[in-house]
Amino acid sequence: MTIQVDPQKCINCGACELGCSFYRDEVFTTMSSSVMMYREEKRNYFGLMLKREDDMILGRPEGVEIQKEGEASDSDAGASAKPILLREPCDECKDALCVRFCPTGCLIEVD
Amino acid sequence: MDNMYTEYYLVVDLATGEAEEIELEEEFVQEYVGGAKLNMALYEEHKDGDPIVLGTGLLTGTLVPGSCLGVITAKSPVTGKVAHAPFTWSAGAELKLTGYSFVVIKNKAANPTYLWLHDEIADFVDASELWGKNTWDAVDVIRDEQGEDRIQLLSIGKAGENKLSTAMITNNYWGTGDRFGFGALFGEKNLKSVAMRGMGELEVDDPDAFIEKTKSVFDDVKSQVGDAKGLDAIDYAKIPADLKDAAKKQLHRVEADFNSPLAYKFFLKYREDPSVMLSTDVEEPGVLVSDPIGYAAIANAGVVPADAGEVLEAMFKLGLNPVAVASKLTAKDKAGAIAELEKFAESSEADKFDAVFSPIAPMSDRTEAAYIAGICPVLVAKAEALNADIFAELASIGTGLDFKADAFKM
Repeated sequence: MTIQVDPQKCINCGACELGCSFYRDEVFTTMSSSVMMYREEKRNYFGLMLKREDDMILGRPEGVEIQKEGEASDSDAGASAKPILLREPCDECKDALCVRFCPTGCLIEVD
Repeated sequence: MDNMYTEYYLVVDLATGEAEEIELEEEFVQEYVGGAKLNMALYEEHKDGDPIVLGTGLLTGTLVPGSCLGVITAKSPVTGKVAHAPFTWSAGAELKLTGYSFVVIKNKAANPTYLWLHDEIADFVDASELWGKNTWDAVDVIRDEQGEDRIQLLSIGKAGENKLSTAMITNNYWGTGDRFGFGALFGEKNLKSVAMRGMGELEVDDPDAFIEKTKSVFDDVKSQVGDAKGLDAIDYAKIPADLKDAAKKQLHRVEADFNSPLAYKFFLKYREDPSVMLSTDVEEPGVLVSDPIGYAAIANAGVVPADAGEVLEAMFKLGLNPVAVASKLTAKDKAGAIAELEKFAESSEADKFDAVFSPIAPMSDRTEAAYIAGICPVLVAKAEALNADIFAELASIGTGLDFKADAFKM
């Protein structure tokens, strides 16, 4: 099982951050999730990042990029990716709350 | 409170520069629940200081759909009554996660100040340099000063500084549901902004049961909301056909409030091709229509539809309530309308109206419950699954206390 990201469907609600954080610590916070939203608010440039064991999925509005560990990104999403480096990677949990509470199908589980 | 709320709430005295943490006791929550109702109890307690109470509901910041709501309670310069206005986007949840589920702001600062709430700390920061700046510049300066781009802000522009009853508290670069001139109260208190960053966490009495119930509510809400989004998300906004056509040509992306499935907000780009998805060097490409009712009001006032977004942007920058000022516009084009708005921000004209809850969405018997529970009234207008019975059940599971549906009535 892995999680696929379709960033064009994202409405930046952040349910995924809440869901993943809750899965980890059984509390509501946005701080411990493996998935993280980013937003350049005035430009309305937003999407999400998912930290995995060996890489990171960068779900940008213009498309998805898989960034291998240690690779730098030339995009702005790379700059705001910093805090996610400190987080736990996605452990591909079953019935993931990030997917179950995503209202748009931006995040889906695939085998 | 051990669960669902933070341990403390905060009473800020702008006159003395002191902030006192007070324990949020279980008995108090059992009696007043939260949101508008608990805000009201705090307002009464601190009435002598003409307080602005910022509060959250028991469900704010949780996974319950629409958990974005924060409530501003204060005496309205427009109606003369104590009234409740919503702030949503990410600010409601952010407030709770700062460590303070409720903040009472009383008296008046000697000099322009902004309140910086983060990690159970309240800082009073000198805002002399910010006074006179528009709301967008204030956001940029404060985020830069505090080094965090996820800081959520409730601020005022020139209209609030000049204590106009047409003033609106803004949320970051956009609008709030403040139709009560609360922006003027910020101005009265020399308060430029309340900046919030929440890294806290909320505990739950029975996590498994809470998630299970929340998921079933989420499924119901999703089916009731359906596929409607953006320009078609809320029909009561009554966006005229010609404005819809103009907006479609500028439409960039649709967006929702924090943890809401209803993407009723939409971003218009008019300084850049709206199909551009990249982050370009155009720093201010357009506006987030956070307030479709206000947007419609601009076109209904006769402004050319293609210019309505830019006029809305000017209102947000000046911190003007679109519904209150739109009807006063006489110019039809953006340059003329924006020039008039600049003047309004220096005037004292306002429409008077009579309401207690902000008319950001149609009132129903569930709206009042939502203002107490901390659930977005715009989503509630669409989703009948969000009602007092459900709020009581979730509140009971989450806290381990016993709440009945009638607790969610003022």
